[in-house]
Amino acid sequence: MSSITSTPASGDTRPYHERYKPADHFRSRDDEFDAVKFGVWLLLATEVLLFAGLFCAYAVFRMLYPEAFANGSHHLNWKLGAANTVILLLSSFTIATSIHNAQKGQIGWLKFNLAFTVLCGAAFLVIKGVFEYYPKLSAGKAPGIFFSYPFATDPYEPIWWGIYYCATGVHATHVFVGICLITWLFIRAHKGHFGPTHYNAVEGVGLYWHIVDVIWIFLFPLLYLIH
Amino acid sequence: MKKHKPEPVPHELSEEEMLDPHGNVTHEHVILSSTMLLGVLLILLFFTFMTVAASRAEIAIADGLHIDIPQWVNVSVAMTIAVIKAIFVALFFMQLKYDNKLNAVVAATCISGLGLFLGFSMLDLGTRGIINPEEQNEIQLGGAGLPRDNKVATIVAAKNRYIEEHGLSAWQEEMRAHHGDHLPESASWSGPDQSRPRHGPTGLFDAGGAEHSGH
Repeated sequence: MSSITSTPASGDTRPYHERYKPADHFRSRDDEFDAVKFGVWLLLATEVLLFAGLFCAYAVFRMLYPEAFANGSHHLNWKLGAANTVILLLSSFTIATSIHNAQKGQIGWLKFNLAFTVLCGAAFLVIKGVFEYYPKLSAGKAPGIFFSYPFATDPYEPIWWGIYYCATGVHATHVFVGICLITWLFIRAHKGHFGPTHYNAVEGVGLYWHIVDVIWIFLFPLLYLIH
Repeated sequence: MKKHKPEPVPHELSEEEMLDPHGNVTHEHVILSSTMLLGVLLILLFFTFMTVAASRAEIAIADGLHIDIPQWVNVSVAMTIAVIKAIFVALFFMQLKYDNKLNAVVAATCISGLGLFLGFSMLDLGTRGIINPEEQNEIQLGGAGLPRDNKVATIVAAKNRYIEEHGLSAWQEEMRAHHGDHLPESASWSGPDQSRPRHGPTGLFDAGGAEHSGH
Protein backbone atom coordinates (compact mmCIF):
# COMPACT_ATOMS: atom_id res chain seq x y z
CA MET A 1 0.00 0.00 0.00
CA SER A 2 3.05 2.19 -0.13
CA SER A 3 2.43 3.72 -3.47
CA ILE A 4 -1.02 5.06 -2.68
CA THR A 5 -1.36 8.76 -3.15
CA SER A 6 -4.55 10.37 -1.98
CA THR A 7 -4.48 13.21 -4.51
CA PRO A 8 -4.83 12.27 -8.15
CA ALA A 9 -1.98 13.00 -10.49
CA SER A 10 -2.81 15.97 -12.63
CA GLY A 11 -5.26 15.05 -15.30
CA ASP A 12 -5.95 11.61 -13.85
CA THR A 13 -9.64 11.62 -12.99
CA ARG A 14 -10.04 7.87 -12.63
CA PRO A 15 -11.39 6.62 -9.29
CA TYR A 16 -8.89 5.75 -6.61
CA HIS A 17 -9.00 1.96 -7.01
CA GLU A 18 -8.24 2.28 -10.72
CA ARG A 19 -5.37 4.72 -10.20
CA TYR A 20 -3.92 2.41 -7.59
CA LYS A 21 -0.43 1.19 -8.44
CA PRO A 22 1.10 -1.82 -6.69
CA ALA A 23 4.33 -1.48 -4.72
CA ASP A 24 7.43 -1.27 -6.90
CA HIS A 25 8.59 -4.83 -6.32
CA PHE A 26 5.39 -6.33 -7.76
CA ARG A 27 4.96 -6.84 -11.49
CA SER A 28 1.24 -6.28 -11.36
CA ARG A 29 -1.74 -5.71 -9.12
CA ASP A 30 -2.51 -9.41 -9.34
CA ASP A 31 0.94 -10.34 -8.07
CA GLU A 32 0.48 -7.98 -5.16
CA PHE A 33 -2.98 -9.37 -4.48
CA ASP A 34 -1.59 -12.93 -4.36
CA ALA A 35 1.28 -11.89 -2.09
CA VAL A 36 -1.08 -10.07 0.30
CA LYS A 37 -3.35 -13.07 0.47
CA PHE A 38 -0.48 -15.49 1.01
CA GLY A 39 0.88 -13.28 3.79
CA VAL A 40 -2.49 -13.24 5.52
CA TRP A 41 -2.69 -17.03 5.27
CA LEU A 42 0.71 -17.31 6.99
CA LEU A 43 -0.62 -15.06 9.76
CA LEU A 44 -3.71 -17.24 10.06
CA ALA A 45 -1.51 -20.33 10.42
CA THR A 46 0.21 -18.75 13.42
CA GLU A 47 -3.19 -17.78 14.84
CA VAL A 48 -4.40 -21.37 14.64
CA LEU A 49 -1.24 -22.57 16.38
CA LEU A 50 -1.74 -19.94 19.10
CA PHE A 51 -5.18 -21.35 19.79
CA ALA A 52 -3.79 -24.90 19.47
CA GLY A 53 -2.05 -24.32 22.80
CA LEU A 54 -5.34 -23.39 24.41
CA PHE A 55 -7.17 -26.33 22.85
CA CYS A 56 -4.43 -28.65 24.06
CA ALA A 57 -4.63 -27.23 27.59
CA TYR A 58 -8.39 -27.76 27.45
CA ALA A 59 -8.00 -31.38 26.34
CA VAL A 60 -5.32 -32.23 28.90
CA PHE A 61 -7.17 -30.70 31.84
CA ARG A 62 -10.46 -32.19 30.71
CA MET A 63 -8.76 -35.59 30.67
CA LEU A 64 -7.33 -35.07 34.13
CA TYR A 65 -10.42 -33.58 35.78
CA PRO A 66 -13.53 -34.60 33.85
CA GLU A 67 -15.87 -33.91 36.77
CA ALA A 68 -14.64 -30.34 37.21
CA PHE A 69 -15.19 -29.69 33.50
CA ALA A 70 -18.64 -31.28 33.49
CA ASN A 71 -19.63 -29.13 36.50
CA GLY A 72 -18.12 -26.02 34.96
CA SER A 73 -19.86 -26.53 31.63
CA HIS A 74 -23.22 -26.60 33.45
CA HIS A 75 -22.63 -23.01 34.57
CA LEU A 76 -22.57 -21.77 30.96
CA ASN A 77 -25.80 -20.84 29.22
CA TRP A 78 -25.89 -22.63 25.86
CA LYS A 79 -28.46 -20.13 24.59
CA LEU A 80 -25.96 -17.27 24.90
CA GLY A 81 -23.28 -19.40 23.24
CA ALA A 82 -25.62 -20.35 20.39
CA ALA A 83 -26.68 -16.71 19.94
CA ASN A 84 -23.02 -15.71 19.65
CA THR A 85 -22.42 -18.51 17.14
CA VAL A 86 -25.28 -17.29 14.95
CA ILE A 87 -24.03 -13.69 15.21
CA LEU A 88 -20.50 -14.66 14.13
CA LEU A 89 -21.73 -16.84 11.24
CA LEU A 90 -23.91 -13.98 10.06
CA SER A 91 -20.96 -11.58 10.24
CA SER A 92 -18.79 -14.04 8.30
CA PHE A 93 -21.46 -14.05 5.61
CA THR A 94 -21.62 -10.24 5.48
CA ILE A 95 -17.84 -9.84 5.23
CA ALA A 96 -17.72 -12.48 2.47
CA THR A 97 -20.49 -10.55 0.71
CA SER A 98 -18.58 -7.29 1.13
CA ILE A 99 -15.73 -8.78 -0.94
CA HIS A 100 -18.31 -9.66 -3.59
CA ASN A 101 -19.55 -6.04 -3.43
CA ALA A 102 -16.05 -4.64 -3.84
CA GLN A 103 -15.42 -6.90 -6.84
CA LYS A 104 -18.65 -5.74 -8.42
CA GLY A 105 -18.09 -2.08 -7.53
CA GLN A 106 -21.23 -1.91 -5.37
CA ILE A 107 -19.77 0.61 -2.91
CA GLY A 108 -23.03 1.31 -1.09
CA TRP A 109 -23.55 -2.36 -0.33
CA LEU A 110 -19.87 -2.74 0.53
CA LYS A 111 -20.24 -0.06 3.21
CA PHE A 112 -23.51 -1.56 4.45
CA ASN A 113 -22.00 -5.03 4.82
CA LEU A 114 -18.88 -3.74 6.55
CA ALA A 115 -21.01 -1.72 8.99
CA PHE A 116 -23.23 -4.74 9.63
CA THR A 117 -20.15 -6.87 10.37
CA VAL A 118 -18.91 -4.30 12.90
CA LEU A 119 -22.32 -4.32 14.60
CA CYS A 120 -22.27 -8.13 14.77
CA GLY A 121 -18.81 -8.07 16.35
CA ALA A 122 -19.97 -5.48 18.88
CA ALA A 123 -23.06 -7.56 19.69
CA PHE A 124 -20.81 -10.58 20.24
CA LEU A 125 -18.65 -8.66 22.72
CA VAL A 126 -21.70 -7.27 24.55
CA ILE A 127 -23.19 -10.76 25.01
CA LYS A 128 -19.81 -12.08 26.11
CA GLY A 129 -18.97 -9.25 28.49
CA VAL A 130 -22.28 -8.05 29.87
CA PHE A 131 -24.28 -11.28 29.95
CA GLU A 132 -21.51 -13.83 30.53
CA TYR A 133 -18.30 -12.47 32.06
CA TYR A 134 -19.85 -9.90 34.37
CA PRO A 135 -22.46 -12.08 36.14
CA LYS A 136 -20.02 -14.98 36.40
CA LEU A 137 -17.20 -12.92 37.86
CA SER A 138 -19.66 -11.25 40.27
CA ALA A 139 -20.69 -14.70 41.50
CA GLY A 140 -17.06 -15.60 42.19
CA LYS A 141 -16.67 -17.94 39.21
CA ALA A 142 -13.22 -16.55 38.52
CA PRO A 143 -10.08 -18.29 37.32
CA GLY A 144 -7.39 -19.79 39.55
CA ILE A 145 -6.69 -18.07 42.85
CA PHE A 146 -9.45 -15.50 42.27
CA PHE A 147 -12.07 -18.23 42.54
CA SER A 148 -14.56 -17.48 45.34
CA TYR A 149 -17.75 -19.27 44.25
CA PRO A 150 -19.16 -20.88 47.42
CA PHE A 151 -21.05 -23.75 45.79
CA ALA A 152 -18.26 -25.61 44.00
CA THR A 153 -18.23 -29.38 44.38
CA ASP A 154 -14.96 -30.25 42.67
CA PRO A 155 -11.59 -28.88 43.80
CA TYR A 156 -10.48 -28.38 40.20
CA GLU A 157 -13.30 -26.09 39.13
CA PRO A 158 -10.99 -23.03 39.33
CA ILE A 159 -8.92 -24.68 36.56
CA TRP A 160 -12.01 -24.99 34.36
CA TRP A 161 -12.64 -21.26 34.80
CA GLY A 162 -9.00 -20.55 34.01
CA ILE A 163 -9.33 -22.41 30.69
CA TYR A 164 -12.69 -20.78 29.99
CA TYR A 165 -11.48 -17.21 30.51
CA CYS A 166 -8.20 -17.75 28.66
CA ALA A 167 -9.78 -19.35 25.60
CA THR A 168 -12.76 -17.00 25.31
CA GLY A 169 -10.68 -13.98 26.38
CA VAL A 170 -8.02 -14.50 23.70
CA HIS A 171 -10.82 -15.06 21.19
CA ALA A 172 -12.70 -11.92 22.29
CA THR A 173 -9.47 -9.93 21.90
CA HIS A 174 -9.33 -11.15 18.30
CA VAL A 175 -12.94 -10.07 17.78
CA PHE A 176 -12.06 -6.62 19.13
CA VAL A 177 -9.05 -6.33 16.78
CA GLY A 178 -11.30 -7.44 13.92
CA ILE A 179 -13.84 -4.73 14.76
CA CYS A 180 -11.10 -2.09 14.63
CA LEU A 181 -9.82 -3.40 11.28
CA ILE A 182 -13.29 -3.52 9.72
CA THR A 183 -13.98 0.03 10.93
CA TRP A 184 -10.78 1.04 9.13
CA LEU A 185 -12.07 -0.75 6.01
CA PHE A 186 -15.36 1.14 6.30
CA ILE A 187 -13.59 4.49 6.44
CA ARG A 188 -11.47 3.58 3.40
CA ALA A 189 -14.52 2.31 1.54
CA HIS A 190 -16.24 5.61 2.33
CA LYS A 191 -13.27 7.45 0.83
CA GLY A 192 -13.71 5.34 -2.31
CA HIS A 193 -10.52 3.32 -1.97
CA PHE A 194 -12.01 -0.01 -2.98
CA GLY A 195 -13.38 -1.21 -6.27
CA PRO A 196 -13.13 -4.06 -8.77
CA THR A 197 -9.45 -3.39 -9.47
CA HIS A 198 -8.25 -2.96 -5.90
CA TYR A 199 -9.65 -4.54 -2.74
CA ASN A 200 -6.59 -6.20 -1.13
CA ALA A 201 -7.38 -4.94 2.38
CA VAL A 202 -10.99 -6.15 2.27
CA GLU A 203 -9.81 -9.60 1.20
CA GLY A 204 -7.13 -9.81 3.91
CA VAL A 205 -9.28 -8.61 6.81
CA GLY A 206 -12.07 -10.86 5.54
CA LEU A 207 -9.81 -13.91 5.85
CA TYR A 208 -8.84 -12.88 9.38
CA TRP A 209 -12.48 -12.45 10.38
CA HIS A 210 -13.32 -15.91 9.03
CA ILE A 211 -10.60 -17.57 11.13
CA VAL A 212 -12.01 -15.82 14.23
CA ASP A 213 -15.35 -17.37 13.28
CA VAL A 214 -13.80 -20.84 12.76
CA ILE A 215 -12.17 -20.74 16.19
CA TRP A 216 -15.51 -19.89 17.80
CA ILE A 217 -17.09 -22.77 15.84
CA PHE A 218 -14.82 -25.06 17.89
CA LEU A 219 -14.94 -23.18 21.20
CA PHE A 220 -18.73 -23.18 21.31
CA PRO A 221 -19.28 -26.97 21.46
CA LEU A 222 -16.15 -27.58 23.56
CA LEU A 223 -17.19 -25.15 26.28
CA TYR A 224 -20.98 -25.03 26.12
CA LEU A 225 -22.22 -28.32 24.69
CA ILE A 226 -19.90 -31.11 25.85
CA HIS A 227 -20.86 -32.14 29.34
CA MET B 1 -24.87 -24.82 -4.78
CA LYS B 2 -24.90 -25.96 -8.43
CA LYS B 3 -23.15 -24.35 -11.36
CA HIS B 4 -21.09 -21.83 -9.40
CA LYS B 5 -18.66 -21.17 -12.17
CA PRO B 6 -16.48 -18.29 -11.02
CA GLU B 7 -16.81 -15.24 -13.18
CA PRO B 8 -13.65 -13.29 -14.00
CA VAL B 9 -13.07 -9.78 -12.80
CA PRO B 10 -12.67 -7.49 -15.82
CA HIS B 11 -9.01 -6.82 -16.16
CA GLU B 12 -6.93 -5.05 -18.77
CA LEU B 13 -3.32 -5.96 -19.34
CA SER B 14 -0.99 -3.20 -18.28
CA GLU B 15 2.11 -2.32 -20.22
CA GLU B 16 4.39 -4.19 -17.80
CA GLU B 17 2.23 -7.25 -18.02
CA MET B 18 2.35 -7.28 -21.81
CA LEU B 19 6.14 -7.19 -21.64
CA ASP B 20 6.40 -9.86 -18.96
CA PRO B 21 8.73 -12.59 -20.21
CA HIS B 22 6.94 -15.35 -18.32
CA GLY B 23 3.52 -14.37 -19.54
CA ASN B 24 0.35 -15.45 -17.74
CA VAL B 25 0.84 -12.99 -14.92
CA THR B 26 -2.81 -12.12 -14.94
CA HIS B 27 -5.35 -14.52 -13.61
CA GLU B 28 -9.01 -14.43 -12.91
CA HIS B 29 -10.13 -13.36 -9.46
CA VAL B 30 -13.01 -15.43 -8.26
CA ILE B 31 -16.33 -13.76 -7.57
CA LEU B 32 -18.63 -15.95 -5.55
CA SER B 33 -22.29 -15.23 -6.23
CA SER B 34 -24.46 -13.84 -3.43
CA THR B 35 -26.82 -16.80 -3.66
CA MET B 36 -23.97 -19.19 -3.10
CA LEU B 37 -22.72 -17.26 -0.08
CA LEU B 38 -26.25 -17.22 1.29
CA GLY B 39 -26.51 -20.97 0.72
CA VAL B 40 -23.31 -21.56 2.70
CA LEU B 41 -24.66 -19.36 5.52
CA LEU B 42 -27.87 -21.40 5.66
CA ILE B 43 -25.88 -24.66 5.76
CA LEU B 44 -23.76 -23.29 8.62
CA LEU B 45 -26.86 -22.21 10.56
CA PHE B 46 -28.40 -25.63 9.97
CA PHE B 47 -25.35 -27.39 11.42
CA THR B 48 -25.35 -25.00 14.40
CA PHE B 49 -28.94 -26.00 15.05
CA MET B 50 -27.98 -29.69 14.71
CA THR B 51 -25.12 -29.52 17.20
CA VAL B 52 -27.28 -27.75 19.80
CA ALA B 53 -30.17 -30.16 19.16
CA ALA B 54 -27.88 -33.19 19.55
CA SER B 55 -26.53 -31.85 22.83
CA ARG B 56 -30.03 -31.07 24.20
CA ALA B 57 -31.31 -34.46 23.07
CA GLU B 58 -28.53 -36.25 24.91
CA ILE B 59 -29.30 -34.36 28.11
CA ALA B 60 -33.02 -35.08 27.72
CA ILE B 61 -32.35 -38.79 27.18
CA ALA B 62 -30.01 -38.94 30.16
CA ASP B 63 -32.35 -37.03 32.50
CA GLY B 64 -35.71 -38.25 31.25
CA LEU B 65 -35.07 -41.85 30.28
CA HIS B 66 -32.06 -42.40 32.58
CA ILE B 67 -30.03 -43.79 29.70
CA ASP B 68 -26.40 -42.83 30.13
CA ILE B 69 -24.90 -42.09 26.73
CA PRO B 70 -21.13 -42.63 26.76
CA GLN B 71 -19.21 -39.40 26.67
CA TRP B 72 -17.36 -40.19 23.46
CA VAL B 73 -20.67 -40.05 21.56
CA ASN B 74 -21.27 -36.55 22.86
CA VAL B 75 -17.74 -35.43 22.00
CA SER B 76 -17.55 -37.00 18.55
CA VAL B 77 -20.94 -35.69 17.40
CA ALA B 78 -20.06 -32.14 18.51
CA MET B 79 -16.56 -32.23 17.00
CA THR B 80 -17.68 -33.82 13.71
CA ILE B 81 -20.24 -31.06 13.19
CA ALA B 82 -17.67 -28.40 14.11
CA VAL B 83 -15.21 -29.81 11.56
CA ILE B 84 -17.89 -29.85 8.83
CA LYS B 85 -18.74 -26.21 9.59
CA ALA B 86 -15.08 -25.20 9.54
CA ILE B 87 -14.61 -26.93 6.17
CA PHE B 88 -17.53 -25.00 4.70
CA VAL B 89 -16.15 -21.69 5.99
CA ALA B 90 -12.66 -22.47 4.67
CA LEU B 91 -13.73 -23.73 1.23
CA PHE B 92 -16.29 -21.07 0.36
CA PHE B 93 -16.08 -18.02 2.65
CA MET B 94 -12.27 -18.16 2.64
CA GLN B 95 -12.31 -19.28 -1.02
CA LEU B 96 -9.77 -22.09 -0.58
CA LYS B 97 -11.68 -24.11 -3.18
CA TYR B 98 -10.93 -21.58 -5.91
CA ASP B 99 -7.78 -20.04 -4.57
CA ASN B 100 -4.10 -20.32 -5.35
CA LYS B 101 -3.22 -23.82 -4.10
CA LEU B 102 -0.28 -22.42 -2.17
CA ASN B 103 -2.73 -21.02 0.41
CA ALA B 104 -4.30 -24.46 0.79
CA VAL B 105 -0.81 -25.87 1.43
CA VAL B 106 -0.32 -23.35 4.26
CA ALA B 107 -3.67 -24.31 5.74
CA ALA B 108 -2.97 -28.05 5.44
CA THR B 109 0.49 -27.71 7.01
CA CYS B 110 -0.98 -25.76 9.88
CA ILE B 111 -3.71 -28.34 10.48
CA SER B 112 -1.11 -31.16 10.45
CA GLY B 113 0.89 -29.27 13.07
CA LEU B 114 -2.24 -28.91 15.16
CA GLY B 115 -2.94 -32.63 14.71
CA LEU B 116 0.55 -33.66 15.81
CA PHE B 117 0.39 -31.37 18.82
CA LEU B 118 -3.03 -32.52 20.04
CA GLY B 119 -2.64 -36.11 18.88
CA PHE B 120 0.59 -36.94 20.67
CA SER B 121 -0.46 -35.10 23.83
CA MET B 122 -3.68 -37.10 24.00
CA LEU B 123 -1.97 -40.35 23.08
CA ASP B 124 0.51 -39.82 25.90
CA LEU B 125 -2.04 -38.98 28.59
CA GLY B 126 -4.59 -41.50 27.37
CA THR B 127 -2.39 -44.56 27.13
CA ARG B 128 -0.34 -44.31 30.30
CA GLY B 129 -2.50 -46.94 31.91
CA ILE B 130 -1.88 -49.40 29.08
CA ILE B 131 1.89 -49.27 29.31
CA ASN B 132 2.23 -49.02 33.08
CA PRO B 133 -1.02 -50.12 34.70
CA GLU B 134 0.04 -48.69 38.05
CA GLU B 135 0.14 -45.21 36.46
CA GLN B 136 -3.36 -45.49 35.09
CA ASN B 137 -5.01 -43.31 37.70
CA GLU B 138 -1.97 -41.32 38.69
CA ILE B 139 -1.00 -38.32 36.68
CA GLN B 140 1.70 -35.99 37.91
CA LEU B 141 0.55 -32.48 38.66
CA GLY B 142 2.10 -29.93 36.40
CA GLY B 143 2.47 -26.20 36.75
CA ALA B 144 2.89 -25.04 40.30
CA GLY B 145 2.42 -28.65 41.36
CA LEU B 146 0.21 -27.67 44.26
CA PRO B 147 -1.15 -30.69 46.05
CA ARG B 148 -4.81 -31.49 45.77
CA ASP B 149 -5.46 -30.42 49.36
CA ASN B 150 -4.45 -26.92 48.34
CA LYS B 151 -7.14 -26.90 45.65
CA VAL B 152 -9.69 -28.25 48.12
CA ALA B 153 -8.70 -25.43 50.46
CA THR B 154 -9.66 -22.87 47.80
CA ILE B 155 -13.20 -24.09 47.40
CA VAL B 156 -13.64 -24.80 51.13
CA ALA B 157 -12.50 -21.27 51.97
CA ALA B 158 -15.05 -19.84 49.52
CA LYS B 159 -17.75 -22.00 51.08
CA ASN B 160 -16.80 -21.03 54.66
CA ARG B 161 -16.77 -17.34 53.78
CA TYR B 162 -20.32 -17.64 52.49
CA ILE B 163 -21.48 -19.59 55.56
CA GLU B 164 -19.96 -16.97 57.87
CA GLU B 165 -21.88 -14.24 56.10
CA HIS B 166 -25.20 -15.93 55.41
CA GLY B 167 -25.41 -18.93 57.73
CA LEU B 168 -25.23 -22.65 57.09
CA SER B 169 -28.89 -23.17 56.23
CA ALA B 170 -28.70 -20.47 53.54
CA TRP B 171 -25.69 -22.21 52.04
CA GLN B 172 -27.41 -25.61 52.06
CA GLU B 173 -30.48 -24.14 50.44
CA GLU B 174 -28.45 -22.43 47.74
CA MET B 175 -26.45 -25.60 47.19
CA ARG B 176 -29.65 -27.55 46.57
CA ALA B 177 -30.90 -24.83 44.26
CA HIS B 178 -27.65 -24.86 42.28
CA HIS B 179 -27.08 -28.56 41.99
CA GLY B 180 -30.49 -30.18 42.60
CA ASP B 181 -30.32 -33.94 42.48
CA HIS B 182 -26.95 -33.86 40.80
CA LEU B 183 -25.07 -33.01 43.98
CA PRO B 184 -22.10 -35.33 43.77
CA GLU B 185 -20.66 -37.25 46.69
CA SER B 186 -17.19 -36.08 47.55
CA ALA B 187 -15.98 -39.59 46.67
CA SER B 188 -16.74 -38.90 43.02
CA TRP B 189 -14.28 -36.03 42.84
CA SER B 190 -11.68 -36.56 40.25
CA GLY B 191 -8.05 -35.80 40.84
CA PRO B 192 -4.64 -37.37 40.85
CA ASP B 193 -5.00 -39.08 44.22
CA GLN B 194 -8.70 -39.75 43.92
CA SER B 195 -9.50 -40.34 40.32
CA ARG B 196 -12.32 -42.10 38.64
CA PRO B 197 -11.13 -44.33 35.82
CA ARG B 198 -12.54 -42.22 33.07
CA HIS B 199 -9.78 -41.45 30.67
CA GLY B 200 -9.74 -38.81 28.07
CA PRO B 201 -12.47 -36.69 26.61
CA THR B 202 -13.57 -39.62 24.48
CA GLY B 203 -13.07 -42.65 26.69
CA LEU B 204 -11.69 -44.38 23.60
CA PHE B 205 -8.40 -44.98 25.33
CA ASP B 206 -9.96 -46.60 28.38
CA ALA B 207 -7.66 -49.32 29.57
CA GLY B 208 -10.02 -51.90 30.92
CA GLY B 209 -11.82 -49.54 33.27
CA ALA B 210 -14.89 -49.24 31.08
CA GLU B 211 -17.32 -50.63 33.64
CA HIS B 212 -16.80 -47.52 35.79
CA SER B 213 -17.25 -44.96 33.06
CA GLY B 214 -20.06 -42.46 32.81
CA HIS B 215 -21.22 -39.66 35.03
